[in-house]
Amino acid sequence: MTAFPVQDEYKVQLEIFEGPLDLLLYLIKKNEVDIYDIPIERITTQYMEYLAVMKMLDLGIAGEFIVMAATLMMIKSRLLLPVDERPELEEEEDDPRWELVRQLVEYKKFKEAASHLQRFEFIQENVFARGLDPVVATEPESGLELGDVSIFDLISAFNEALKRVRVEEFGEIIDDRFTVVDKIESILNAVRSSGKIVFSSLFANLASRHEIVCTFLALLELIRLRQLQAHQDGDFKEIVITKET
Amino acid sequence: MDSENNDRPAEGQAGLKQVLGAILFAARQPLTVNALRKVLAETAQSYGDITLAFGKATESGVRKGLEELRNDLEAGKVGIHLVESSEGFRFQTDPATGPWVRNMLDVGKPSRLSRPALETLAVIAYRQPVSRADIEGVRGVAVDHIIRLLLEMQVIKIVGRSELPGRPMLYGTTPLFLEHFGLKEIRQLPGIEELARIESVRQRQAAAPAGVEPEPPDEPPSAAPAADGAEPAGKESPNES
Repeated sequence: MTAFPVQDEYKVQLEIFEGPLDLLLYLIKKNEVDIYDIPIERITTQYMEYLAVMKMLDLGIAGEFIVMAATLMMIKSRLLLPVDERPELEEEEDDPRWELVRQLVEYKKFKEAASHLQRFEFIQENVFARGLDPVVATEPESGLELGDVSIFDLISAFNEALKRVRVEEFGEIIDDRFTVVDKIESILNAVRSSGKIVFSSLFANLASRHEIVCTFLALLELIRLRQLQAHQDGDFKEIVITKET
Repeated sequence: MDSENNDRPAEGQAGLKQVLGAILFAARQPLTVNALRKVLAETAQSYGDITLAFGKATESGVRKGLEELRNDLEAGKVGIHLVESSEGFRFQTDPATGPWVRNMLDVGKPSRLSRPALETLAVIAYRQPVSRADIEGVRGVAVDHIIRLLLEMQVIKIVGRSELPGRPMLYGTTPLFLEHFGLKEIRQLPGIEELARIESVRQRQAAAPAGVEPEPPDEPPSAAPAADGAEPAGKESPNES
């Protein structure tokens, strides 16, 4: 994927607080594969694809994503070697995937624990008591507040939209017809008039990659600014965009 | 339901349950059982008369009175619960009534933590005291920004420094953390024992010489090799798919 000249006048700087383990768990879930028997070949290919999209969008990718890419490559190459020719690393490490699996399983547990905390938080935010200040509404981190949709769901949907136009790319002539600012306007108008829009419909009639990228960045920015919210009825279902309530 | 303990109140006289309810209603902050007993004892001493009846109320007696009060409120569905928080007993509103109370108090939208922030907080809550490197080891990504946010929100605090090289700061949760999630104590966190078990394995590993793998955090199916030192040699590696 080539570097893409995103407009200069409105630089979107989105920080992603999710890490490579989040992406891997997302891919494992999406592919419905066993965490203890990860098809490294397939997962690595997809991981690199997501990484390329994130780079193209100029999302603040943590260096850890690159380190993980290298780790995946190393595991992949070690699995290609016959067992007795694999370089000795640690004596009981039969499967080069094991350390990664251990890390993923542990992290998954904490993700579940975080879900419990979130459930408690939703209950407790509706509880009031005497002498108890309602929880101070501090300005949350500047990252994306996505609720029930993960950043990878959005990137995945974006990638789908991008793939649809890839074939027509040769005809690109004028790039600067679209800007993120314009797209922010048009998305807001669309949501205002109909109350909600389906993610894919935002990209349905777009012809160029540039326009898709601008539209997507505009959407992320609106979510970050808490103008819009993304929802999903279930895992990997259609993403719906509504006004922030 | 009249209180069985101590003297049964005479006609028109307050029972222990009523007295405790009134004290907690009028109090500005939560009160522990001991604080309530202190009030009862001091009142009996200075006021005498009818208050003598509860002057020597035992801990279990007070707890029983509170329990009756709690049950009465639940049964009556009055929109108020009696709850034991980390700081003591207090009345609080039924979460189902949240929207109305929130509107009346004019406190705006609740502040919710993002998923990455909740995950970071979960690691701190379950593993405390814990260093930034420990958290990053679990999450696999830098967390300094989120730690700063959580410190600002005062749901975590610096609880000390590790003995490790560089003496990194150690983080733990605050009373406000318990408050934010409606918990009485850390032990109420679901699955705390299991995650603490991993912790103890880790500590063992830290103490042991390098090269010793920790136990798998979960029971792996036969496809995954058990990373145990006692693993018999020549175990087959799972096939790459």
